[in-house]
Amino acid sequence: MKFLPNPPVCSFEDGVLMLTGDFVATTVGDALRQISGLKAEDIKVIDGADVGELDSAGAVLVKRLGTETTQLRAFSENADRLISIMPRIEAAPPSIPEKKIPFNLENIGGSALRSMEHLTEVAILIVDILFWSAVGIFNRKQYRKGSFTEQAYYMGSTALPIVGTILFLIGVILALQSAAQLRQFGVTIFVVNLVAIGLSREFAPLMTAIIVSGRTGSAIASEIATMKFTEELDAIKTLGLNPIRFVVVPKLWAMIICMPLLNVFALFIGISGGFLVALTYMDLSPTTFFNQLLLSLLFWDIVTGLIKSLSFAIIITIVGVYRGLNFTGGADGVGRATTSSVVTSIFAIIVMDSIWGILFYFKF
Amino acid sequence: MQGEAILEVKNLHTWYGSQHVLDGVDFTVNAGEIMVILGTSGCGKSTLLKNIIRLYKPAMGSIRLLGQEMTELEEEDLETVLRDVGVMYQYGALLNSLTVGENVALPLEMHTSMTSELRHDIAELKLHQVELKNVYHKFPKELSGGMQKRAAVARAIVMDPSIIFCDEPSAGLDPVTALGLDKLLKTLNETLGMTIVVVTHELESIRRIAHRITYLDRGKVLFTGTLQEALSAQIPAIQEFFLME
Repeated sequence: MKFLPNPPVCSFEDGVLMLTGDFVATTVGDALRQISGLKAEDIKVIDGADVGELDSAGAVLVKRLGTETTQLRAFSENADRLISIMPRIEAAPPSIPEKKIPFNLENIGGSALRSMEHLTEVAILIVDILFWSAVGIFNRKQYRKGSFTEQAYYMGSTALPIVGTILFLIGVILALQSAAQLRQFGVTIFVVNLVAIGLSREFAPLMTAIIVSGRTGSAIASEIATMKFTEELDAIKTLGLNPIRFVVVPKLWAMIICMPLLNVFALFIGISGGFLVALTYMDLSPTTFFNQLLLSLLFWDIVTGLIKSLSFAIIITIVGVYRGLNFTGGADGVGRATTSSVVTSIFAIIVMDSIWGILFYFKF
Repeated sequence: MQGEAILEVKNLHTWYGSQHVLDGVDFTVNAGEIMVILGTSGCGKSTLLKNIIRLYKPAMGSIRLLGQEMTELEEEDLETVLRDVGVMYQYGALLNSLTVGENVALPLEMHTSMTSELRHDIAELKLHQVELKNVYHKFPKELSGGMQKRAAVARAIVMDPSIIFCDEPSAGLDPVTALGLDKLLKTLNETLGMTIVVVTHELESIRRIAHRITYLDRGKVLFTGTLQEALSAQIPAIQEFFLME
């Protein structure tokens, strides 16, 4: 295409449309404006003797100008060839946008059916995973030696720095915020109770689960989605192996073991954050802090956190696996699976945490 | 060289939603032969392969593989049958978390009680057979596309299966690598007597390896027989397919 094409000129006289200049992508708009009032039936001949350059856009324009019977005259050989291969595209009738009814019964029914399908799929997956996990305790067939250790190392050991840092800061913040309020009543010593109980029953399991869902849950979803995309899951099946047993069960075991351990680690690191504030900001002695800690922190508080973290471990794994297995599309699908796994996990974790919170409040 | 039927597909129908992908497919593969399933893109070749190895259950019809009715097998029995079947996927489908050697040795590790040393030696031997050297400890992503496909063949044949299925083995490979892979399949067929079913639309490859072909067109079998018979059968779709070069 020319850098500066000659402007197109269209003149119409006695049924003959004379085209002059270049008819290329950048100029056909001008040409169209010049002939906007012309009716296709009136154009008997299109004369291209003075056409300079003509590209696909120009050819489409020429093809659309007349009718089936319009004669093309004096176009160059190349232009003729290009026009001849252009399909005749009839102007499409204006599309009438479908009126959307927000509360149409069909839509509501469709959504309900899809939700039921999802729930059934999740239920089947949960049963499948839990069944094979339980079977695996007694029968180690189809589990690769070392796969559990590998997963546990990744999910547990490598998560320690991030869990430690976040929980230490949470411990510091919790102590500072409660100290600011309790100082007004002269009972800063109860900061220790708040930190210990708040962390053991709530913050340690919840924050650990949120960190692990962002870190490991997303990794599970993306790994499984990628395995599906690259046909690795199909390959596992055709090697006579069960993908749930081979891929998912070691992850669930690792998560079930690592989450409570991470929770205990998070609790002690969080308390050490509170201890630092108590020493430096509240002028409490280490002995006073630990005496108050032993008085306030009950064994049941730690068990509460462990029960929560165990349930969160199962949620994170199942959501990650479900999102990974339900992946569709290509690389963008892997990204979507990962994101939705994190969002769903966090939502489910908080719902589960609330359920546990209510149960523990009324029952224990 | 060729014996009795090892795979018999009869009146196979598969739908994807409302789309009738396979419409009454019938064909037979005899033991010891290389059968090429071919056809234009979207004709149902890959679906047929997925049906045969039960990655996707057909809606109707019969698939008799190694004497077993694949459409009726329970999961555990299916796993047993599949141990005597090798599958090579279009892009290799090696497990990225394992090394190439571990990938090849995986079926041995999962289905036999042999020692790790023996598994290692067998996997090395199979890698050697597919002309891959010094790759045992490498990860799949460190290999080229052609090498990954070779490694996938090594994994498919590590249990010395009776039949192997290859999905587009030479797709996306340069002509030299594609030729090497075809030679490898031919060698496996001639030396180990393996039955090989190849799904492809690569004309050169078909000419080099096929004992017989099955031509699929819009989910139907248009022809089964040798390549020579196909070319002289005066079937327009097949003639057009082979004259497109």
